[in-house]
Amino acid sequence: MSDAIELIAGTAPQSLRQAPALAPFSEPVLGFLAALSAALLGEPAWRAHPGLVALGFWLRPAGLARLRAHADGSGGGGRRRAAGVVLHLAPGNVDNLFAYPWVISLLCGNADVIRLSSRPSNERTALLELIRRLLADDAHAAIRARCAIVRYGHDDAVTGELSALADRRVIWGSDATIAHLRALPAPPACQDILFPDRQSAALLSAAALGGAADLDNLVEALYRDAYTFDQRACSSPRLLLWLADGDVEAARARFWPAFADCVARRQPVLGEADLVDKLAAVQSVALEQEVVVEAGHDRRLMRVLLSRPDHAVLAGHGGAGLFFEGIAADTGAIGGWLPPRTQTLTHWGFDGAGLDALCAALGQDLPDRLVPLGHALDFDPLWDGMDLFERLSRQVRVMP
Amino acid sequence: MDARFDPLPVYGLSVAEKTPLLLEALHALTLHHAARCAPYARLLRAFGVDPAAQPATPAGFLPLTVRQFKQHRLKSIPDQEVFKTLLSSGTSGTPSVICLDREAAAVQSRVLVRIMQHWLGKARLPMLIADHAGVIKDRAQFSARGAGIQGMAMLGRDHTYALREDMSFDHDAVAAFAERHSDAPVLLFGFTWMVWQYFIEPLIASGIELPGGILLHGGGWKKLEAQAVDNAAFKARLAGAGIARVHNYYGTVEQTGSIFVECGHGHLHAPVHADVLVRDAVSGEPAPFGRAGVLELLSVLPTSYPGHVLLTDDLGVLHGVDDCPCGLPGAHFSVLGRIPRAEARGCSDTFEPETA
Repeated sequence: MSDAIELIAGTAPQSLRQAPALAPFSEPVLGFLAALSAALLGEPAWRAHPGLVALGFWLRPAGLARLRAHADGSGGGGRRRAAGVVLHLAPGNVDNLFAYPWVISLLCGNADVIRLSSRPSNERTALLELIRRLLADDAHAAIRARCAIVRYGHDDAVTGELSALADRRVIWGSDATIAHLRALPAPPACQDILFPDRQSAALLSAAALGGAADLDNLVEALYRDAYTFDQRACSSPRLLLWLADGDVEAARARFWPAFADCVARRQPVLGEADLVDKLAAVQSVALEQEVVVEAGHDRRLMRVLLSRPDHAVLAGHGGAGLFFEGIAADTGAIGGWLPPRTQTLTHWGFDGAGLDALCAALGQDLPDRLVPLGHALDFDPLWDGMDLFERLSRQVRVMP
Repeated sequence: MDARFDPLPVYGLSVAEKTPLLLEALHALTLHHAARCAPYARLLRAFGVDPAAQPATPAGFLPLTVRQFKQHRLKSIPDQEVFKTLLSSGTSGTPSVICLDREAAAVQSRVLVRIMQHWLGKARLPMLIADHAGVIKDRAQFSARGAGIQGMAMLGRDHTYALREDMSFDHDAVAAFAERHSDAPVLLFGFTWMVWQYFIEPLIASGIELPGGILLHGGGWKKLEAQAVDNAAFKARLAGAGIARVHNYYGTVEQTGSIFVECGHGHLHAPVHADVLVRDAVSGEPAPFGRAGVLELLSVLPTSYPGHVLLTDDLGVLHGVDDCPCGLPGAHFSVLGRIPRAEARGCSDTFEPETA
């Protein structure tokens, strides 16, 4: 294999097939993940990285138990076995997103090659430090033998060599990246798991915002969803939809000042380039269609009230604290506002019956996730419409 | 252009004298463009701006981000009156498109000459151009370099190109030019990058002397930044070639006629028909003197397209008004370069074959 590959942690990719087979949810894997979680949650140094704390929390005992319950319930009654070797081509810019499918893959019993981006990321560096430290411990030798965390330049030849080893490839967007990488040959039995560009929205019930509604939790939840990753993750809400099941104008008049206060308090760090880009994006829309722009004395929050659904403007959205706003007259109108293949729709003010009605109304266009506001960025084994446990393992039919 | 500006000396008014005129002229332009450019009117409505209300200060006008000229054809004249179309040099693909009618084109030329005559004197100077003759080929559509040269050409005579079409130094042409004008002031003109990359070293190597040379150069420092060459290093090298008078200028094709020339003290100066603001990117408010922010340019010239108040993609710093050590009144500032671009975040951009 090419010298161009830098091995950051684990073992050489070519050796992965020699690692002893592990059953799904094996002790060595559970032990490693427990150690990882404890370290992420325990070390004060990591608290500066909210993404690491989130990962640690996801891996806590209750979290692992939830993953187990999910895995036990999926697979259609077959017996689960590892797929084999999984190649992960990680996204450049959402720091530690690669870790989630990797965890699921480990829990399926696989061995993994993870190609990381060369883009600098303090949070990713911190995580890799920790992983390296854990893998150096012989208690986790079994994990060390079944993972290869590597870095190399944009080298199709190397990606091709690694693909030749793979039973699964996990390829993250952009769409252009996916088009390029999926075209690199892989063995016929190798299946690709693709995460292309997606968009996300938030849906708020105007009725639920009346009276003494819990505004503090609401604004904090939206802030968390939107401003983490500067609103550029696929799950970040960029469209904020109101369901006009109550006085929408009153709801907006209550909500936005409270949210603006939250942004002012939290002081998100957004560079000049981001802010000017955002203003330019807003002006471009405002030149072409009748919209109402709200840009107060804090450009870290800008919003554009659309008079009608427009999927194209959402595509031009670059994040960094910009909300396109829409008002859906009733549940039936919501679908029209959502761009095709919306990934995540976070909701606020909907009970079970309300969500059922929403699902019925959205039909085929139901987004991949309908989760409470504040949880847009929580990873889930059901992601982009796929059951990752199912995708990263083999379901074996055994009949007497 | 508002007629009251015509007779005014190019650097003649203090801020207190200029501002009331500027406000009225910009207000009139806002109304003018709102009435004739539907997208512009839409933009004002979107931001809740009533064009009929005159702002109390120049900062009260809504700036248009320059990028819009790349994405939209914004003009306040009918198609049949478009006389000249300017295109930006667009390093990132799509160029800006600026539409001028005959009058606007004429005014722009006139203003340019008036500004430059302040620095060069009234007489047309012999002009040596650090470029090649082929750069002004297509007369219907001008690139920034071609437009710059064609505009400046009016200031000079005996126009001589220092480079051949293959960018090599035309030793014979330059030597002959130096010979013809050995004791007189001469105008040297070129884009900063061109001067640095193709002109200055061969000139020094040639031994040709241009002691009367006044260099006027513009077009940004981006490429030189990549070679770690700043204004000081640039001037030092030119001094090495015996060229002692050097004036950088800053302008942008999106606001033709706004030319800001560097004084002996190294600061750029706003002429009487233009002004400059620096905005804090977070608050959108004008930044205090000495604090860097996003550069905004105001001009009373753009009548054929809504370019009278523009937010650039450049960072700048306003040093002060009416107090430059060189003695010129008005705003004086420096350009710090393009707004630095941070890494994009989010799932995209994993793979870029062109950038390792």
